[in-house]
Amino acid sequence: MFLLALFVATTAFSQQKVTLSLKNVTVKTALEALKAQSGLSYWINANDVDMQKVISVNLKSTTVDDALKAILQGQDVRYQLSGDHIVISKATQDVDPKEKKVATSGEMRKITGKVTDLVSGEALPGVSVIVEGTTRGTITDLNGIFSLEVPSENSVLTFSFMGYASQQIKVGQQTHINIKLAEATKNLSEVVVVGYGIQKKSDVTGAVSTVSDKDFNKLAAATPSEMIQGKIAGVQIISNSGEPGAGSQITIRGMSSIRAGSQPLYVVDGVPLDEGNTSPAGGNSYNSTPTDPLAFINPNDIASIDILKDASAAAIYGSRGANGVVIITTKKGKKGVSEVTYSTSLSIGNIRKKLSVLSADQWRQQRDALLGYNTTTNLDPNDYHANTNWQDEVFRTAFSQDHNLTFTGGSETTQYRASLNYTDDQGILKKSDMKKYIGSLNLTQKALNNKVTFNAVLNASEIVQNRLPLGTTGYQGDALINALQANPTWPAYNANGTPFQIGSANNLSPVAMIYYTNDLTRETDVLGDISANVAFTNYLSYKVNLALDYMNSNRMIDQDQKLDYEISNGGAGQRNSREMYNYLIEHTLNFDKTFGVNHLTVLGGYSYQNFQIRDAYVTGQGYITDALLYTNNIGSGNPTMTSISSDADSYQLQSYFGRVNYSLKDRYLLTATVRADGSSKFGTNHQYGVFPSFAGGWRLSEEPFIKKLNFFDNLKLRFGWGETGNSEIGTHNSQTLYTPTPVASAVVGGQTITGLIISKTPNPNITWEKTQSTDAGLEFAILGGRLMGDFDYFYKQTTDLLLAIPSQAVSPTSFVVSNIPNAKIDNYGVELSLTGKAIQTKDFSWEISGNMTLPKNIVKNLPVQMYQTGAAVGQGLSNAYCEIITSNQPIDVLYGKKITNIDSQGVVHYLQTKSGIDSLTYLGNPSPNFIWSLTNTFRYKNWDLNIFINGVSGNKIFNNTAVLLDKTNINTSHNTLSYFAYDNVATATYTPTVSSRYMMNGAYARLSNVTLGYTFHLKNTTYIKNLRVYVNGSNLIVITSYKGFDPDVTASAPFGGNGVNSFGIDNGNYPKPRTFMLGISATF
Amino acid sequence: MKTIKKIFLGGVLLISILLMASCSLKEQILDTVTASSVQADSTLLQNIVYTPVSQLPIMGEWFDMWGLQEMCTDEAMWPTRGTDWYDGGAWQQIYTLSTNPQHVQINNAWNHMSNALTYCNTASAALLTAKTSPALLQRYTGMVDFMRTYYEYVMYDLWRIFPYRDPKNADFSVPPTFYSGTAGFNFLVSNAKKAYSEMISRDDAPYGEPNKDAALMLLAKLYLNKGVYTGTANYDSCLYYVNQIIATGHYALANDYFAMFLPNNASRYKAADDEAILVGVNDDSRNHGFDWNNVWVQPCFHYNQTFNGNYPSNWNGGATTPFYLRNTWYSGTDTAQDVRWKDNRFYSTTGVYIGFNNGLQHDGQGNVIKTRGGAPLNYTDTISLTSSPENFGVRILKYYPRLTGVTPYRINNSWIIWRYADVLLMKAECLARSTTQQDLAGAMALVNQIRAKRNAPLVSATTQAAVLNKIYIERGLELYWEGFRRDDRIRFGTFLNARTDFPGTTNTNDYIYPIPQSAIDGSNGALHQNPGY
Repeated sequence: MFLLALFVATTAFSQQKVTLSLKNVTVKTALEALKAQSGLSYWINANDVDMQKVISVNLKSTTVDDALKAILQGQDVRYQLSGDHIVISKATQDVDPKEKKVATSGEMRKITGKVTDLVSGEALPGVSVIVEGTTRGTITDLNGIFSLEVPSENSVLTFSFMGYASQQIKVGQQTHINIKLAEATKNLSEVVVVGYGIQKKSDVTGAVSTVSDKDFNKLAAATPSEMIQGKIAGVQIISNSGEPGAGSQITIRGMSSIRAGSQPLYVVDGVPLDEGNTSPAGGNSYNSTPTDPLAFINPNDIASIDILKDASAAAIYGSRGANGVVIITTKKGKKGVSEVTYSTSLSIGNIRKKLSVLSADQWRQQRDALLGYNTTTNLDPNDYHANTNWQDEVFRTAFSQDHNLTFTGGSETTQYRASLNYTDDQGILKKSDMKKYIGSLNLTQKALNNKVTFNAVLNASEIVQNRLPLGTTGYQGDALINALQANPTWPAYNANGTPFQIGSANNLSPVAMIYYTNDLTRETDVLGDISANVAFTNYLSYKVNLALDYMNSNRMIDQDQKLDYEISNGGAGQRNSREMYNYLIEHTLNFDKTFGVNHLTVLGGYSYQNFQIRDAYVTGQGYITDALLYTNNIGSGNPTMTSISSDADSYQLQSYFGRVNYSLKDRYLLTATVRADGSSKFGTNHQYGVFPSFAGGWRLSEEPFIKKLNFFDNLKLRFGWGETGNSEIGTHNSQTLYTPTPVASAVVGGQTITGLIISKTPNPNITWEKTQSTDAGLEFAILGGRLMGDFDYFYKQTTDLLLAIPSQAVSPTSFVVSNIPNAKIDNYGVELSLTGKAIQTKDFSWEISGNMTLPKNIVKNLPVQMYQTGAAVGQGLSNAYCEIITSNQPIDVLYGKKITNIDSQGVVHYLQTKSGIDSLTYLGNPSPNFIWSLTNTFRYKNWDLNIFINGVSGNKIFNNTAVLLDKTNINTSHNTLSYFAYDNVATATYTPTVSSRYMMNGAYARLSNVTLGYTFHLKNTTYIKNLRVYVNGSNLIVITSYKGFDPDVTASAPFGGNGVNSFGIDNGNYPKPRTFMLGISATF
Repeated sequence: MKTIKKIFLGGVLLISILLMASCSLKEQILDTVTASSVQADSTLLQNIVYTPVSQLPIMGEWFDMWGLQEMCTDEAMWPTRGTDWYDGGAWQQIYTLSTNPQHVQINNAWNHMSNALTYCNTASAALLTAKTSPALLQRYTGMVDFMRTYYEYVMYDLWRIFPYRDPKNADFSVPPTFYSGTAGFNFLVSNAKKAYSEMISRDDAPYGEPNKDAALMLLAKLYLNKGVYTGTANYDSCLYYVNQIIATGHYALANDYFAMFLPNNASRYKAADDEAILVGVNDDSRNHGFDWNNVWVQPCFHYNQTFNGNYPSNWNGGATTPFYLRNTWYSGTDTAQDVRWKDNRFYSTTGVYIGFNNGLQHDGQGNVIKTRGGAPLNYTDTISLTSSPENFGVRILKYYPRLTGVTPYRINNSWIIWRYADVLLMKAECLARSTTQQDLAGAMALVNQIRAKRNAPLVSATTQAAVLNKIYIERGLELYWEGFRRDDRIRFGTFLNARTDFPGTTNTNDYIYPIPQSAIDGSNGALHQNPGY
């Protein structure tokens, strides 16, 4: 055999020494070992090298060159260094690109040319140029030049290079061919994180989407969910509010549960988090908007967020996978890279849109007209003669800042990354802010001759949040609602600077509410995760993972006795605390081996996770002085007005899981997954559930008949089916349990006998909800990856719906939580994402990417006529609801009276039944039927510009805020919305009720994010490697007909005690700010 | 070296396999108590057996049982006031007898009763295995049986049907038996008699524990309304039981009418002029989880009437109707004399009378109260169901709140479910209605016995119809807002008649309420909707 080796050496390459002692291993294993030691990755032209050939090498301190020679001995290949890649390809007769071969036949034609990078225009050395169907080929030289002879003008040249998309060119009449290679579409080369492992994107058979850090939305003090809002088809993310630290509602492929919750499972570096809210509940007059469960993570630490959308991907998480899985992977240290990065951003936020309410003069006119007041004989007793714009009094310009320091480094055996983050996020409503201090450390250590890899992750954070009284819409309690409905003739402040109040608990000044309330939450989170991976052989490894996630949160709320509402109580103090922890023990075995054209990966594992939650609440009232914060001495109030309570909860999950991936010829892919989950939440009759999934993929682009078309760079069909569960069903549903409770305490003979009652109607059959989902997907990339896309059809059916059905009379509770086999929720639809590189030149590039989802949702076979949900709040709206869940309608369909006409007297007439009673009817779907986003990225030399637009349509919103601000407020000396004040409804006869008057179109298009950046290439300076400056604007423009603050609303308005979810209700949500940000990032 | 490595790796593998050996998943119970712990601790028995008694104050809750008995009559109306109190039409529907199976208050009332019956069953089940003295066991058994029968009676009265679940069967997925019609009536009577035989005498009973007299009253109430319930009246049996109550000698008409309802009315227990037969005891030193709203201050009085700041957030809701005032008070007695009309003993402190409050309203300092619009607050007789301004409607305050040492919205007035004046009026009614023992003069004597005590002018009547009319008026004067008006109006045939803002109807289906749709949905077909709904 003859070996020809061409070696273009760089100094570093030739001088690097490696030691390899391998016996009876495959070439592939040997190359992997070489790669691990040298840090050089290799690229192999398909089928040119026999990777399964078994060899033995014993090298001590040899050069990489010699090592390669030894490994590849006996194979007719050549190799070349290109960048930090070793390119290995079949040797051809064209040994030296510059060597002129004498034509051996008249048909042979000589072709020369140059290969360059499409974007930078730089020459690409080491590109393999092969004549299709022959063994002829060559490699470009250091200047990107190639030269070779081809048999005919029908010959096709294939240009391929590591990290770039291959190109094929028919020779034709040309003798000189210049080729620009585009970097391979990231989809083809990137890896995605699937549960308990990673996979090449090209091998994935399930519906998995990845957003990596460079594609994150850049926002001031962003939460992880905000960073991927709009980026992924099929995933709807709505911020709960614009409050600092607010969480988001993430809905993956539609709402599939009525009661058990629609939030996905969050997995951070392999640790599934508890679903509980980390902030302790406030009392009924305090803000209870859920905070972000991921707030403890520094967004700058996140390397990627992967979303498992369908059951074939999520089934590995079994009973917790039904709503999809969000996997967050944090950054790790890299070998050989030693860097310190400091980044900072400063931002200014403002209210994007204020609501138009009556000015003081307009208000006076309305009062006079309606109630007959005038300025001479019949003075309005509620005119306080000032002219206050209350929204101006409560909103402010918010200044926020963010600082990050990261250092990372690594040797052969130890790699680390440490980061510190400080964020000060001010809210645009006064007295709302959040400060975060987060430290994290990621450490990897190899031991025992690299057989064992230890990885430790430690993340510790302190979050300090100030909140103002919000979230309890209605007559009292909400500072924002009060800012909208407060009498505009009140002054905001007294002469002495204290807030003005009129002395009525029913007419609160928003300024006084904010001024006299302190609501501080201090939360500490620690997430520790340590794992050891033992490689028994090159194909079998074992991993053990231990993790602890601990959270302690303390909330202190003081409402000063000077606040009108608190005068009679003598002030109120509340200290609420929540402690949550869970620990995880996990063992996995991994098998990964190639047999000829077969590749088999097998994963088996066991996991045990134990969750604990403890709450304590202490409330005091009746204080004699406000010279101290009540919560600092909560017992100093009136002892009869003190209330205390606490609760504790625990559950465990034990699971066995396995996954088999099989691929044949890299073309035919099969995945099978199974997980058996046992949960202490489930009834003793159904403690274990088995969740299987199967998926297949066909990489059509690897088939010769597609390759022949010379059109597709990637073409893959995916099909998957699987079953997942939803176990967010609460605890203690299966047992007969007694609770001591004051509610059932009888007073007999002057003694109060604490009652002991059965607190829940037990259901020993209770089990998880099952979601079966089918997904068919098509992935493609054409034009050298300049256009690529994903198309998915999904059908998801949830059965065994967990519902609080009316219990049969004589039962401890009026509802019993049960699984209803026939009751179903169907979610189906299509998702499409496309990315196109419209322009790619050396100086200028333009990339467009967009995605859209067309979801449908329908509820079937409910065992009850309807569930009422979506509590409507306001005067005269006790027990009113605005949504129902009923069979054959989308979940949470809006429901109420429909206005037919408003007569000349201004009387509102509603649609009536035959018997002349106002009838209730469907008034729209709160879920959109079209969700889309569009990203444009421009780059000109060192400048980059990113514009992100997203929107929804087809949904209606119940604007409960408008109900609270309707024109009847004039009667009660409150303020009203301008568009109501001047409409033709007669104030005297109108009574606000849940009707089409408040059901408003929720469609919008939002210019969400614009970033303009400049990167300095500082090759000549020694100290700064990289410097980037950018400006960013977010939430800039919203095009919508919606009349509230913001059409992006979530609901937290469950009705009655049935625990049924609601959606799409505007309850005076804290508006999202419009922010402008200046950011700098420097790497040293 | 290699051997050591193999041993090490083998060890890791072995340990991991051992760790994989599954743990048993046992639900940890942290903040509640398991059934086995309850059974093991005999001291917990009384905490269970008294739970049914704890639900008696619910009978006086304005938005619950009380509302369903009073708001459908001329005594009480919760009008819509501008933006306030529309509440999806709930209160208007009750008033105009046009409720539906989705009605929230009806649903709540049904669920409350179902829940209270579970307390009874849990208690009965605990007594089945309890190890305690036979005397105590009998006392508890009697009390629990009485409570179960009482709650069943309340459901029977509102819906003419009630569920029964054998306490021995703790499986809540097994359907209950539903009783209705005459069978239901007989079931209630026989269980009330059984309870009577087991319960303790009032002489031995602590305050708040139902005794034999309550069982007698339950039997009397059942027979008083038997004609309405089953179509066949039996006033003689009612007469038998009211006579038994009178014969106990435990009761006499109260010398001070409003003292019966004042804070700490528990102190009147076994006083010489005690009237209370069955009470729901409230204790304002403890937080009961929710604070009882027995037809008092918060739901009726104006936002700006704060009772010296003790009630800073009232809701300005319910009032009474001009129809009732005209026909019961202005023509039925002399409001200047009758002690039941109004009492000023706290007026100088709060500006609010006990009893009826009409006209210009003041605070404790004599300042005129203003409406939210700024006008003087003047409660008028006039009221409009669909559109009342803030000042419409005369407000009633029978149970006056405590004024010192108060925890806002908590009260310590016991809610009187049954009392002696009712017994006398029931006797008068039986004497007037009985075919075998009719005694019209005796009936009028009982009416006047009460009127004399209340300083009302005496009245006379000689025909049966006239006597019954006097009894009806007297019930309106004596027992107003105590939760009997619906039954009275049905029994006296006035329930469907026109009254303020209600044109009247002939639909006798309106005598009873619709069964909540959720109860029908949950009954697996066992429960059928009442006719007409």
